[in-house]
Amino acid sequence: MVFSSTVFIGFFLSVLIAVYFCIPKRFLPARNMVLLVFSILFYGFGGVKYLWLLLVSVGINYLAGLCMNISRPGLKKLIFILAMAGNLGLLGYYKYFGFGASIIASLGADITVPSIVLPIGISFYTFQGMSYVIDAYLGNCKIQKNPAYLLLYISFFPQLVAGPIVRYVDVEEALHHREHTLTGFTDGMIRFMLGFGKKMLLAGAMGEIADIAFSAGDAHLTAGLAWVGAFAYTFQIYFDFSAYSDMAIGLAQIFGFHFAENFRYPYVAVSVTDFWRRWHISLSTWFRDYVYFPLGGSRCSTGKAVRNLFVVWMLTGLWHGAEWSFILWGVYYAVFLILEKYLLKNLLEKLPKLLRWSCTMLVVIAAWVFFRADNTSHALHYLTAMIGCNPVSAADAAVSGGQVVYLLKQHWIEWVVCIIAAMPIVPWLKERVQNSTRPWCGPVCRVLSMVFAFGVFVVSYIWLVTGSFNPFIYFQF
Amino acid sequence: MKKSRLHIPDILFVCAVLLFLFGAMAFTVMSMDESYSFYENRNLAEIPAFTVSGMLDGSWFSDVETSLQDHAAGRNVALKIKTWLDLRVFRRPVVNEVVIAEDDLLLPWNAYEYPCDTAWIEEKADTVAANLKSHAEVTRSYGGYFLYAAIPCQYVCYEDAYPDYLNNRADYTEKSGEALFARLTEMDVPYLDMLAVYKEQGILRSSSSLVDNHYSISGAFAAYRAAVEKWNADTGSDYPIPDASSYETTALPNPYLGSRTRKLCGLWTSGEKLHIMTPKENIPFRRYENGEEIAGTVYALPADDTSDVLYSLYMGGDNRETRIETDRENLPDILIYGDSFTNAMESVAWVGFDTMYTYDFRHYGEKTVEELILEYKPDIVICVRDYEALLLETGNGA
Repeated sequence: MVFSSTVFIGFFLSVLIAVYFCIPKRFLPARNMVLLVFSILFYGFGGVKYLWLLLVSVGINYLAGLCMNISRPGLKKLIFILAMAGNLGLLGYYKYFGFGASIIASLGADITVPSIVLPIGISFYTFQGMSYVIDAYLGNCKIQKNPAYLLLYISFFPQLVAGPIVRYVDVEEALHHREHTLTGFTDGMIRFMLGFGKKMLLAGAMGEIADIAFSAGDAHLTAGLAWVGAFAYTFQIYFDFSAYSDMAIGLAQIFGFHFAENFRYPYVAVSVTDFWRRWHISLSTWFRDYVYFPLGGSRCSTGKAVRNLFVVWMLTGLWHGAEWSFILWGVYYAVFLILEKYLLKNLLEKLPKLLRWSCTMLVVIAAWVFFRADNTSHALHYLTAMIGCNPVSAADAAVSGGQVVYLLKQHWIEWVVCIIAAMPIVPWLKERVQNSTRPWCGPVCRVLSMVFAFGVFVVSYIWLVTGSFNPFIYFQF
Repeated sequence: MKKSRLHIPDILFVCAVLLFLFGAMAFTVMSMDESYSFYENRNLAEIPAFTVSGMLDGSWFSDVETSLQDHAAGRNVALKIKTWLDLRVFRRPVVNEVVIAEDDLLLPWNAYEYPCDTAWIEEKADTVAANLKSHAEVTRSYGGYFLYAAIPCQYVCYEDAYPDYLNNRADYTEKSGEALFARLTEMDVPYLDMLAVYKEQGILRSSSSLVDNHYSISGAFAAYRAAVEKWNADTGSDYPIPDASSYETTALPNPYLGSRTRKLCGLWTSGEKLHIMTPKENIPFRRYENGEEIAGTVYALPADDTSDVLYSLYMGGDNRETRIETDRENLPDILIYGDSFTNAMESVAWVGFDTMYTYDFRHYGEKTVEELILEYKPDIVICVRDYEALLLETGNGA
C-alpha cells in the first residue's frame, strides 16, 4: 500500500485513527498491537506472499537480540556474525543473486540467470533489523524481549517500505512510553498533508516529464530535451522521496513516535559533502556508523580513508539496486567526496558560494542520470546528449524542440513551485516567527499553516482521485 | 483559559481532517454502485472478484485500489475542479488531452511523433488497399459500385490552428493519404478524398466541428453529395444529385457537448450548435436495429431545449447493424460501413435510397463485409474512414 492511494487515505488511515484513539492512553500495549496489526495489513496489501520474509527477518533479529545477553564473548560474536549473515543472505538472495548470476553468465559460464522478484521494502527493513542487532551487540540498547514489539519496530507502517531507516535506539523508549498530544497530532497531520501534496502535485508532474525525456530514442534526444528531463528527474526524486519521508515522519508523530529528519533541503548544498549531509540522512548515517566508522573512518592513513570511502559508496550504490549503473553512481560520488576532502577543499572554500552551488548541482544532476537511466550505456548516452554531442537530424530536433516548449509551458506551475519548495523557505519563516516580538505572530502563523496544509491536502486528494495509480520511486530499493 | 484558547485551532483542524477522512470513506462506499463516468465516457472499474492468488501476489489489492480510485468520494466534482483549475487558473495549453486553441476551438492533443517511418506507411497502405480492392471486386462481381471515402477529422481540418510546438500530425496526414490514394489508384479502387473536396469547395473548416472530432451535418452532406457525383462520373449513370434545398436544415437550440467539451467536463462553453437536415418531402420509412424494428427516426432529439446534445444525435450514436427501408423500389440500395463518421452521413443519405444498410465493424462481427455485400448486392457500397484511421486495420479501421 502506498500513502498516496485512495485505500490509504479513505480507509486505512481513517479506521486506524478511529481504532487507535478509541483505546484509552493507559493501554499502550493494546495501542501498540493495533499499530502492529495495521502495519502487517499495510505490508500485506502489496502481496501477502512476501510477508513471511519480513517475519523471518524479524525472527532472525529477535533471536539474535536475545542471544546478545549471553556472557560468552566468542559465542555472542558467532551469533552476531550469523545474524548479519542471515540478514545479508536474505537481502543478497532477493536483491543481488540475479545480478551476480548475470555477471558470471557474462563471463562465459553456462548458467541460467534467475528472475527473482524483489520484495517491497526489503532493503529498508533489513537495515533496520541489522541496526538493532548491531546496537544490541555493542550494548547501545536494551534487548527487546517482546517479539511483537520488535516486529512493530521493524514493520511500523510509516517507515516500512521506503524509510526513513529508523534506529531501534531512537524508538526504543517510545515503544514503552510515549505521549499523545493534540499538538503532536496536529503537527504530524500537517507534516503528512504537506508530504502528500509534494508527492501528488509536484513529484507526479515531474515524473511525467522525466519519463518522456528518458524514454526518448537515441536518435531524438537533443540537449534541450535531455536537460529538461534531467532537471525534472532531479525534482521528481527529491519531491517523491522527501514526500514519503515527510508523510512517514508525520504519521509517526500522530501516533506519538518521533523520527529524525531524513532531508534538509539538499538542493541548496554548496558541496557534494554538504549534499550528502542533507540527502537521505538516515541511510548516510547508517553507513557512516555501521560501516565507515568500523572500517576506521577518516582517522587513519589517507590511503585507508580513501579505501573506506570507496567501500562505503560502492555499498551505498549497491544498496540502491543490483545494477552496474548504481555501483558507478556510488563510485562517482566517492570520487567527488575524495576530491573535495583531500584535493580541492582549500580551493572550493575560496570560490563564491553561487559558483560552489552551481558546481554541486551539476555533479548531483549528472549523478541522477545514472540513477534514472535504464543502464550504464543509456546513462552515458544521455549525458552525451546533455553536453550536445548526440547527433540529431534537423527534423527530429524540431520535434524535440516543440516537445521541450510543451513540457515547460504545460507544467509551468509545477516548475515554479518545485524551485520555490526546494529552497529552505519554511525554516527561514519559522525562525522569523520564533524571533518575532509580536505575541500574535506565532499563533496566527500556526493557524495559517493548518489552513495551508489542509488546502494542499484537499487539492492533492483531487489530483489523486482524478489521476492514475502512482507508485513511489523508492519502493524499488 | 489561555491554554484552552490556544488549542481551539488544533481542535478545529483535527475535526476538519477527521470529517474529511471519514466523509471520504463514507461517500466512497456509498458511490460503489455507480458504473459509468459520463465525462470520461468509460465504465468505472468494478471491485475485483477475490482470488487467493491475487491476494498472494498483491494484484487483487492493486485492482481494489483502481476500483476505489474510480469510485472515490466526490470524484466527479474533483474532475470538474481539476479541469477548472487547469483551464482558468494554471491556463495550461493542454487540458485533459484537449488543446485549447484560439477562437473557441478545442483540438485533440496528439502525442509527439518523429518524422514518419515511410516504409511502415507504405506497408500499411499496401495492406489496407489490398483489402479494399477485394471489397471492390466483390461489389463489381454483380455490377455494383464500391467507393472508399476518406473524411478529414477535426485535427486535419484545423492543422493550422495548432500552436507551433504541438503536433498537428500534418506530416503523417500528408504521407498516409498520399500512400493510400496512390495504392488505390494502382489497384483501380474508386476513392473520394474529402480533404481535397472540402478545400476545393472552400468549406474545410466549416465542415468540421469546433469542439468534436467529427464533421458537421453539412460536412456529411457534402461528402454524400460528392460520393454520388463520383458514382455518376465513374459509371456514367445519372443518379439524381442530392440538393441541400430539398432538406429543411434546423439548428437545435441545445448546447452542443462535443467530445472535447465533454472531456473538459462541460466547463467550456462554445456557441456551436448541432444541425439536423430533414427532407422537405415526407418520406415514410422503417428503421431496424440488429433486425428489430425501432422508432422511425434518424435523430435522437433531446427532450427539451436546454439539455446537452452530443454527436450521438445522429442515428442515436454508433450502431452495429442498421437498416432503413423506404419502399421505393425505383431507387437503388446502399451499404455503408465504417466508424462513427458514417452516422451523420446516414442521417441524410437514407433519403436517396430504397434500402440503406449500415454496419459498424467495431461492434458487428457475425459476417464479413464481403459476405454482406454478396448477400444484399447493394447498388453502391461506401466505406467511410476518417483520416486518423486511414491505415488502421482494427478499431476505427475495422
